[in-house]
Amino acid sequence: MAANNQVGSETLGSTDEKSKMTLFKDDRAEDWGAIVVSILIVAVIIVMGMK
Amino acid sequence: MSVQAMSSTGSGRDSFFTKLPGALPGLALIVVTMVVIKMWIEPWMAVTKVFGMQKPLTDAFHLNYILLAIVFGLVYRNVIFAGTIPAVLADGFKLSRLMIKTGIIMLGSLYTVQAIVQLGSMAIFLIGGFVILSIIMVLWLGKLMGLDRSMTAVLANALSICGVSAAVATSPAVEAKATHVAYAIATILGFGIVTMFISPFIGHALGLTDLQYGAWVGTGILNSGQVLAACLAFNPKVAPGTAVSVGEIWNIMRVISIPFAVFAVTVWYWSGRKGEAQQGQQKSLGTLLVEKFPVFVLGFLVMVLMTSIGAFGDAGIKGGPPPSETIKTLRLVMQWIFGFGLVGLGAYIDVKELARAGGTPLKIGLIVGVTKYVLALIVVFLIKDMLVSI
Amino acid sequence: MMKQIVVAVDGSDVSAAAIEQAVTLARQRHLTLTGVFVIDGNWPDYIGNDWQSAKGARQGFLDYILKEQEQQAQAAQTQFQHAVAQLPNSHFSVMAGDPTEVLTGIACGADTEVLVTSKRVFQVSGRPSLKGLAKTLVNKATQPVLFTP
Repeated sequence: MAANNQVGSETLGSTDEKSKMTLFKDDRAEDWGAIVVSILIVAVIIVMGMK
Repeated sequence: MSVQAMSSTGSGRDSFFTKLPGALPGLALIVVTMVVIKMWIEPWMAVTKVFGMQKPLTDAFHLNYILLAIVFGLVYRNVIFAGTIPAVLADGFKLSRLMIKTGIIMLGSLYTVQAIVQLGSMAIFLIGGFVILSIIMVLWLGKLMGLDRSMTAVLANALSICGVSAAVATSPAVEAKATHVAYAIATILGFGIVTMFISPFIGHALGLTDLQYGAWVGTGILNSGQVLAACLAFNPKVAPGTAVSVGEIWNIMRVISIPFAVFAVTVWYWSGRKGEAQQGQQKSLGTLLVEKFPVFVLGFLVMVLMTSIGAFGDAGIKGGPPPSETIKTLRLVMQWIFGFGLVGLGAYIDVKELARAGGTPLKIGLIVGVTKYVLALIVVFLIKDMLVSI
Repeated sequence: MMKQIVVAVDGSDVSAAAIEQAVTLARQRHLTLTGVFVIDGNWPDYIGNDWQSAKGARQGFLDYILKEQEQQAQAAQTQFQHAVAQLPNSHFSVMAGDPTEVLTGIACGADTEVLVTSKRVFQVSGRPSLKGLAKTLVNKATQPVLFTP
């Protein structure tokens, strides 16, 4: 029965990873991911500008 | 009689990096789409003649890479993939949210702290006024049309703050029914998509400046994703003083206000249900802030601080020295990142869901949405001399 | 292969009529009756356009919707159990996924004798496109489908 379908975050109706809308653990992890990606992009641009 | 549950199983513990290779096909499609748009379609539109008219696609319809990115996303999902993104591409499309968030954080390099304070205070003034107006309208219309209290609360926040995000944040706190929320979301998205395509057209027809346009769509368009797209569609340049630099401050202000709005509407909802068991639904403002505050906004603010102290060289603020090479490259990268993100966002628009929207949420959504959209334009015209450029 | 009658159940008034029809059919043909409730797994995708929600907001919303659907599944099961009390062979399944896709799969399944469903089934779970479920079944089903209002 339905109560057996215990699922985690963002996994409505399924325990499958496919129904998650982010590749990260959750939305907050995605926010941190975006911060890290921004830092990386800025760092690459600065380093390339130094050459 | 027997009972069985069927559900698929998955590890559910894979890390981002384990899943990244699976996202490559979808990501590749997004990147190829943007390359085709930027390298071939945009240059073609800029010179093509249709029915004897010189470049009507760019001059008359104001099509640019941003609108094309969304259109491509829409077509991928609704036409080519017949309504569902194929599993092999799904993970790549899920990266679109990461891209938009990254773009927003980098957008912080368009502002100094002083500019944020100037624009932010204008935004608070306009947004604040329109939030109060929209909430009053929704409460009144909800009562008039006999809408239940929980749905009225969801619509009040969704139509006044920032669309889908506000609906999602508010629904659990006011016990809204899934079916009601679904119709509210369909209404908001449908309205947002129409305004996203017509706003650049109206803006150019009325000769609005970037500042006026950004303030208008930032106040008048319901959903934040569409504010971003409508601004870039009006002027695809990412620089201080452009439509996106103005509209996005409005967006950030709206995002920040979500936890406060959820708190206020929850208090209103439960105040009308005194004596009933509250089932632990009513949360404190502190809890809501922790739960519902989007952390990427902090990244944006750090970026503003770093730009203000000159960490990336001259920012190219109006009246100051021209932007440094670092800042110029950053802005170019941002255009691409937003393009990538918006292809993905377009692919999350399911036309068959929107086509079947209806009922009271649609009626209230249209009345409040159109009123806000038109009134915001009038107000921006009336106060145009008071708007401060950056 | 043992064929079966399948009925879509959602606990609402509209599915009560469908169960009644399905029970009659199962009795007449001496077949197993399976009641099906589908937990709508398309909600994360449905709110996919929302890119800025914080952890608690998005997750809290989806958990909240799931809870509502679990309650609906419980109501569907109770409704089915009451209706099939006198029937010798019956099963109740809770499935996960897009209700339209799941029911289309059943309507094309080799072991389905007849799928009995209300035209308005699963609209309790929300998404507007579920209003088109019956039309999709008419177009795609390869096994007989009996619609109730």
